[in-house]
Amino acid sequence: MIPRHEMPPAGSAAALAETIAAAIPVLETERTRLRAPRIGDFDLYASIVCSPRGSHLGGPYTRADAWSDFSRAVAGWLLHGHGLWCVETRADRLAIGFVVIGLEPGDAEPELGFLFAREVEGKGFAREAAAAARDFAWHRLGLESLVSYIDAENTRAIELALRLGARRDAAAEARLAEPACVYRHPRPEKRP
Amino acid sequence: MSLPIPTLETARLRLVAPEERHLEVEIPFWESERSRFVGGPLPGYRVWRLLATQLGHWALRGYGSWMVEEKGSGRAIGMVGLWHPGEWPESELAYHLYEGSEGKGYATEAGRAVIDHAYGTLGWRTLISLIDPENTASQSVARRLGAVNTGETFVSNPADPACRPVEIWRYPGPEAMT
Repeated sequence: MIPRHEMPPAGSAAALAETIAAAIPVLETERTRLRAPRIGDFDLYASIVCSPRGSHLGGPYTRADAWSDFSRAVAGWLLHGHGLWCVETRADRLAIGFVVIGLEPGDAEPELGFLFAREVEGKGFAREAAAAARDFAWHRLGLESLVSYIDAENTRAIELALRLGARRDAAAEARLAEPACVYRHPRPEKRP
Repeated sequence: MSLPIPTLETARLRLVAPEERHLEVEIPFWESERSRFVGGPLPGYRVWRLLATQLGHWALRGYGSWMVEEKGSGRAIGMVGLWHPGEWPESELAYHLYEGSEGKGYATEAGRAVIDHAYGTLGWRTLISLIDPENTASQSVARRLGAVNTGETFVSNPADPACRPVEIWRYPGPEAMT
């Protein structure tokens, strides 16, 4: 049974939530679609951040903390014009993970983050979706810089960052208050 | 991104969407002892998280919390809204006023507007407030708005020994309010 607080909104509240969701851009790659997250996606989010792999993401979280974290990542759209996308497969519209362009107090620069369900690892979906979000950051948002903050033991995320072309930035790491690896995504030349 | 969050008006107050600029009034409240019955005091950096959680709440649920401003002065006097984070038993009417804004009936006035919104626009059938047993000021507001203490309690975070149980106050349904 779905807990009451995870049920989708109804009535005019649903209409308002849908208005906000509709304003969040949809990005498509060959095999994935990045779209607005909805309450129904929370269960997948919680299953990732409340699991042992959440220990690389500041967790593992309790479900209540995961809810706050999920809400905040969504709020990025309202605060900064960038935030959390839910990633689904285009073939069968199955939600498989999340990509986020985040910015929280304490972050020196915007962050590209990625969270994917264990079952879909190794298929290149995360790389495909994260690359689309990264390109959105450069070409649509016009961001000046973009980094991924990654726990030193999160080898899968480090591999993904490297495959995306990001490189470790020791100088940026030295400026952090809390230890983390900083992988900097190289900014492409401005298009003419 | 512009917020399609509705603005509510009462005789003396305007309820508007919370924005990042409101941190300058929210942070002193949450850092002060005034916030002790609603989950505070909190360090300043946590207040940004709270504001972001409130905005995400609007996006995901289609309802949430407003900043309350005095119509005449434009001064922010507190927050009021419909709040259903984490594992709350159901959506609650929540409110807090900043120092110097109490004793004027503002919380009751704003709360009335939000109840009307919940039962009218949103079509809700029930509404509660979760109130600390020692928070007599908040209890007075709830009582003036017709709520009754059910005597049931709720602990929002059982894992945290410092988390205080709150009492569930229940408002009359929409039929009784009209």
